[in-house]
Amino acid sequence: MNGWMGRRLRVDLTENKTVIEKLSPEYLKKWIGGRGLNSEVLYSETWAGMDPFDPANPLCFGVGALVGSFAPLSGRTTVSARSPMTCTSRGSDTHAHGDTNMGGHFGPAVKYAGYDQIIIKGKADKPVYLWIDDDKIEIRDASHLWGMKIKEATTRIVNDLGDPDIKVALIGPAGENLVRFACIINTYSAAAGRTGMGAVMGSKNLKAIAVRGTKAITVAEPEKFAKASWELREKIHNSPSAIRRTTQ
Amino acid sequence: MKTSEKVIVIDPDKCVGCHSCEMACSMQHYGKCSPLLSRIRIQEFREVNTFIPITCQSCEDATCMKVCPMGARMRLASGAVVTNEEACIGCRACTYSCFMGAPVVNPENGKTMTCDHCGGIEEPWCVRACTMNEALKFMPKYQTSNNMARKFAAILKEEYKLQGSKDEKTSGFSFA
Repeated sequence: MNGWMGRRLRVDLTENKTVIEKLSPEYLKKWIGGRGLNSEVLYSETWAGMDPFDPANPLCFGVGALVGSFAPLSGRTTVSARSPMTCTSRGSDTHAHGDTNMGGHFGPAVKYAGYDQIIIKGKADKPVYLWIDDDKIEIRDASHLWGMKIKEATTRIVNDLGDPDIKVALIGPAGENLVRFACIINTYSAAAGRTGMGAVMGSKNLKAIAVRGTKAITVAEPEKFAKASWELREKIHNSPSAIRRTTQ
Repeated sequence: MKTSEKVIVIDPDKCVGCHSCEMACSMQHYGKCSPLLSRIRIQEFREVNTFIPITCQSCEDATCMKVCPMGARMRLASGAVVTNEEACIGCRACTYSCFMGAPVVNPENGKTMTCDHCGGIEEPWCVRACTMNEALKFMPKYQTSNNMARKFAAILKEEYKLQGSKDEKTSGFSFA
């Protein structure tokens, strides 16, 4: 398959089980990107009135067909779950669909590991982190990381696993303490900040997801793809409404 | 060295670590996107917001060519130094001996690879893909010294403008 990787990873932290599911081209073409894939899962697998901290709340990390390529504006990862922060209307206590997205290097790493989506359900009985190394998935103890802030924990995980190129998405003390607007951070500073997805992750006792991948993303016509990407980028950069920064 | 020989010049001040060059390089050579298949690599020092592209500089007196036991490192007519995959045995001596670690081990066949300037096209894909307005430049080797000097001089120029008179045309500059 071009663009997409054609697989999703399901993790159950209660049962300590992981499953790699195949995704058909029809399904992917229908739901297209991270947000679409996540929405389909939430629509099918949650119910009215579900509590966001219910272990069954599926925390979804979705990426689209272009993520991991050099197409402009292609780097976001969508994070979705039933939201502890967002309710259906002011004053309501009916929790609504939570949806946010983050940049950084996490999304491309998920694609290079061979997945279009990661779905996490259940709740671990103690703090854990997920280590995805292509097809090898491990649920590892994170008690030594619980309480750590983002930079410290990322550095510690990357050192423990022994490769500076490993990409990590994680929560800090806010998510651990179920702060309603807690975010999920990857690559030190890229934030999935809306709708309190960090709290959902904390409610599952999941500190972090570390990813490394060695697979490649294919496209149907490399020359045309490259040309189209670069022309689009020029258009964006030369747009009158773009502020051009050429140095850091 | 022929004056026509070009090289990819890196400017770490401009690089923001987007890795577009890596994806473009792998796409040009292998038709797919994977940083592991790229001959240019970005070294990240994220905690100090510094990103440094590393790619073969086709040294005039290349250590890799001398060290290769099979004579597989060879210089093309364009000046680029590449690995002859038929002769390469994957010992990686070139990787260890290169002062900047430019030779990349191709994970698919265990052999090494370095920048070949995309086979002699006018603008290598990494240079074209760079999103930061010339963090990578493709220029004749003999012009690179002037390039560096000009970069430094531009910084001085800004400082002198601040110290000197406001009229650029008539100001000499005084050293306080």
